[in-house]
Amino acid sequence: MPFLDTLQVALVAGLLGLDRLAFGQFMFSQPIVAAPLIGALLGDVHTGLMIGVVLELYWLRCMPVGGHVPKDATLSAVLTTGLTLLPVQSAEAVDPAWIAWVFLWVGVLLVPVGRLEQWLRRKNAWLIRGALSSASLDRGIARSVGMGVLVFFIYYFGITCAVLGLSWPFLIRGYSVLSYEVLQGLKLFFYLLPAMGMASLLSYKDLVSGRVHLGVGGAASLLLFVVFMMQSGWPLLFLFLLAMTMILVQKRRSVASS
Amino acid sequence: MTVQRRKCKEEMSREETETKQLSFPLLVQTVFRGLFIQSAWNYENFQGIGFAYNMIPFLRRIPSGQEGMQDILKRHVTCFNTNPYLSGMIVGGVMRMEEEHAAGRVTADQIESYKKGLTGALGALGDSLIWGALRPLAGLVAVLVALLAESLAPLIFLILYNAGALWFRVTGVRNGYAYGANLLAYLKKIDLQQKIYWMNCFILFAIGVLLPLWIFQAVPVMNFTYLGLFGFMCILIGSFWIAERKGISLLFQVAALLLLSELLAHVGWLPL
Repeated sequence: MPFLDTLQVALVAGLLGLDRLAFGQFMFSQPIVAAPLIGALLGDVHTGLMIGVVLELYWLRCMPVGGHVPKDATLSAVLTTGLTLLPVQSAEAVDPAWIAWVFLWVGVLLVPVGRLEQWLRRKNAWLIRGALSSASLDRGIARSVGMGVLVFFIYYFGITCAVLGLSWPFLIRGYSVLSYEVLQGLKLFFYLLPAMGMASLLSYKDLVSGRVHLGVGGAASLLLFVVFMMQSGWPLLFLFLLAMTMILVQKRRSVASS
Repeated sequence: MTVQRRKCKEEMSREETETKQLSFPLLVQTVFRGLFIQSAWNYENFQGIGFAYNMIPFLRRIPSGQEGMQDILKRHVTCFNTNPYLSGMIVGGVMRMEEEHAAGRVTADQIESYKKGLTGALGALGDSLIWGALRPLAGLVAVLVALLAESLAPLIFLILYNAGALWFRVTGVRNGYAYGANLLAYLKKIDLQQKIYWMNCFILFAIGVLLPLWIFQAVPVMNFTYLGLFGFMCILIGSFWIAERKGISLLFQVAALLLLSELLAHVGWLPL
């Protein structure tokens, strides 16, 4: 495993972690952006995007509501892409079974990592005391904000370095003993994973009032992509216009009824 | 209808003339500092340090009243937790209130209760708007784009998401300051609930589009007809939907899916 690649990925992971936790929240840290970014860094954007799409759908569930800290979708995307691509030296296509194997390993790791993040946030209370004990409160606050950014960067950088550097030999050894049927099952698991994210998203939407949108979207997609096999950008534009028309018609109806 | 609209416009323009505007450099500084609102997030005062950090450029400019800048800051390094994208609205509103306080028209307690009242309301509204609607919507559209023209997907996601998020950040600070104590009137005017409703409609439409497309393009399975696979995916999503509603843990759901995949692979339902 190239040391320099690991370092590069950890550095980018640190910056993506800042985007998630400490600065901006421009959502570079979402799997659909983070995974292709790591993929590009390791020379395989296509696999990065494949991982990004599946994980984006899987992590649709992840919502930091109130004081709740959800599981880390950014680390999940960065570590899955990094561990998938770092041991692959050739330019050949990556097997989805390998990605699923890495994803499961990262999923297991996310449990203690989540605890570590919570511990860190509890310990972050020293930033308040640091600010309040400062002679000039405005400078103390600015210093605390800077320290917070630094702490979160080191957290992401350190975890990525440790996981990428230490876990891949076990991963490869474990993968090599899996039978063909188990690998096929893992492949299927990878393709079915988005169903969980979609179900989770649907579970807190009002399906009674939105059933028409769901049904029309499904029917239009079936007709355009499956029956007529149209896969260029035009059907997407058509679907977008259809959705907008539906929404406008419904809006006009609701205004008229009110 | 048109008469009603004209009346509404007249009312809005009257309201706007009554409001105060924030200077451009201060607006830029406040919006930029708003990007750090979560930097020192902790379980004791959540975004309290970030909030106080956001107030510093404004407090340096206002004429100090009975209390100095350090005392005002001390009042603001307290528990504060709201949606980071709508926090600008509260920051703007509190700036206006602090100005009134310096002029002796508002007490510190009134500012505190104003801040507390808005924190909960905007937190709930912002979480539904940003985490529950804008982010899933941008993600779903980007996934749809990825299945058809893959290289554009991350860019589409970033543009869609940040166009909305930046709009809330900039207009939040500006209108929070402009409306001050009447911020609720502004919230009523922009009707965020309605925006959430339409975004949710679009999300459901996008899931409807995505499901057949996902099966068609991304699940290359042999030994099964397309229609059969579609039915299977619907049953699978329905099962997970029930599991989510029943509060079954994520770990258990992943284990169940893994077990099901292995079972299907062993009975010959194999991916290519």
